[in-house]
Amino acid sequence: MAESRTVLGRVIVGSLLALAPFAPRALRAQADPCAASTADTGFAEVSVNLQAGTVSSVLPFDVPIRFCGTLASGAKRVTLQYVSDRKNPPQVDDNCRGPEGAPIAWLPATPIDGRIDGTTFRTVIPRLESQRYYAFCFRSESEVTPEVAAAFRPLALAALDAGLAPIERGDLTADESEALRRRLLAALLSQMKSDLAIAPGTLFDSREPHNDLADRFNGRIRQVLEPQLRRKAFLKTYATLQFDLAAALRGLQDDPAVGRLVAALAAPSDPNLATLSNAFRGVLDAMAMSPDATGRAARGLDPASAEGETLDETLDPAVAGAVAARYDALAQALAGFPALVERATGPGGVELPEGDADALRSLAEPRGPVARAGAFAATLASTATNVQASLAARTAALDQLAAEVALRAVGVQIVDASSTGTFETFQNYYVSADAGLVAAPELDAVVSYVGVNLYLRPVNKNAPLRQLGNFRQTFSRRFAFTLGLTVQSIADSSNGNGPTRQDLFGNQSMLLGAGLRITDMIRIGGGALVFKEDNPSPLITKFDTAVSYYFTVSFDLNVARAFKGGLGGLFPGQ
Amino acid sequence: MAIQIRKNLSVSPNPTTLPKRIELVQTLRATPAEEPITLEYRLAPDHQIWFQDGDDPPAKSFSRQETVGTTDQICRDRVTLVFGPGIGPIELVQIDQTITDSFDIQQTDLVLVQIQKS
Repeated sequence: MAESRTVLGRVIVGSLLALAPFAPRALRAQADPCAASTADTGFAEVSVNLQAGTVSSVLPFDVPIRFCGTLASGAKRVTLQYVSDRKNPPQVDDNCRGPEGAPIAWLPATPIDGRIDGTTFRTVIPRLESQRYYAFCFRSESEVTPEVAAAFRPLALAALDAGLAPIERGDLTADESEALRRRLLAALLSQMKSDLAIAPGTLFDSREPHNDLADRFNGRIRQVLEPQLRRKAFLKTYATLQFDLAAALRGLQDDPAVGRLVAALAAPSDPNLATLSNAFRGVLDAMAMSPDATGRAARGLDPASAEGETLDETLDPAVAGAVAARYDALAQALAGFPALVERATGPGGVELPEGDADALRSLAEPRGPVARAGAFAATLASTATNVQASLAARTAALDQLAAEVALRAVGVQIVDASSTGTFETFQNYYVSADAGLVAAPELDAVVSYVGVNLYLRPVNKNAPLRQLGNFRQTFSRRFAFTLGLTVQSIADSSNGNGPTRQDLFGNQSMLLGAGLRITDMIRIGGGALVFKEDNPSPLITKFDTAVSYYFTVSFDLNVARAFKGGLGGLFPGQ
Repeated sequence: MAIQIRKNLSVSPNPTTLPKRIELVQTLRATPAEEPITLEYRLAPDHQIWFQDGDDPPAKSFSRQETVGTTDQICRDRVTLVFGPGIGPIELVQIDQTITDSFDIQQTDLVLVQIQKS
């Protein structure tokens, strides 16, 4: 029990001691969310400064990279694409376009989405190639402010209005519907500032396939097109109806009996006739209009004014409403004509020449010329009312459609980087150190050695070979020439006749050969061990340089570093 | 006698899949007296949507006779929309209507039908 307490106490103390060196780092990590993790994450962690357009280090190749950086608050999405060049840094402008706005073939075609945590983002990109220049395009999206959205809405409405106005019929095939959506999207995009984009999932999101949005899109478009086309349909009969109304009114105005009735009631001195005249002022005025005023009345304008907008010109529902009211007033006035004739030709009425009363009654018959003129006016009133309603409905539907254009603010940042690095980086990538055992069968010697391996291509030893392909595909990352020195002497001891071999330099001999990594950490090799050998001639006492073949098994010193304190102690300085 | 369109032509169900029996609805009023009218409905000749009226063969138009009073009157005309020869696939189709009164005065109206994939 006492022993248990002691062990527990050691563990706690050990843990505290172990934590102590990491405490400041932990605090730093809180301050800098992109500080390198102490644990092996399996990624090469690289900090990116979007404002400065820089990264924290030369980019490692052959390993996936996790970028970490900070965004403005409110960001909802960040994406990454890259482009590379072996000889020169790619030329990219502030909007991720090439020189003079030329498009760039960014990779991958579908941008890589990053993860956002507050203002920190992380995004993982696949393995990069060695010795290349890279440019990275980071696009971040955030919701726009209500003020920006409000300012854009009228622009969107105008763009949608202009895009839909030329449509003459409401028959749309699937292809036409898709083309229409593309046209409207293009019109919207042309109105946008460079830092605005349409929010994902909304009706005009270019990333959404049209098929996925077709029902929603057609539903919204129908609500705009229906009143738009209805107005056009009404206006098609409008010209004919106007002409017919004007002709019918002029026919009545030209009738002699009507002329005499109007004249008799123009300014009667008889109080009864004055009352009659006032009661039917509307129809009497209609019958007394000049040809010009009649034409204006038939067009729905104020007969007494040279100003005004006609029904086919106006896009203002209020103007259409005023036109409808004038047609309705004219129809109502004409509807009073039979009553006027009845009273004017009755007892106490107007004195008219013989035959006028019959002529007037004939005009006032239910299906007579006055009723026909009234029918034209009433139909035109109906037409104008419907045009008014159509204009209002289209405006409301367009407003709803514009509301579908939800926006995001988009930030674009370019970051330049390379996987090329400096001479020091080259050295790390082309040269590796290893240590192991060398066996020279002819010499019957096995000793330890340290050596350097010279690769023929850059090799990132942090990249696991198995993730880079099969043996053949990774051969160039496995094969290296080896130059090494034995750690122990291979000189033989004196056997009475003196030593037969000596080391090449002092107590060390040299290895010249080549090797292959068979795993990430173990290498086998072979080559020539260079040493000094006693000349076999008894007359010559000199030692000549000699070689013998060898085999090696070695460990990569990067791996040895992982065992620091154990195996790493064998290789100080690593 | 004049006809006033009090409520524009509408169709139900809308949107719809085809073939489907649809109902065309409109509110009309005659002034100043009751009025016999003819309602003609038409589809564009080139697309794949057709009317089928009862057992009649598919057609691009059909007519109805109505008498409209001096108060608002809801006119309901039922017909089946079917696929036939013509351009497609159509997603939005326009039904044109012409109302002709006893003076031969014509008014037009229309409705758009949204066709959904079945």
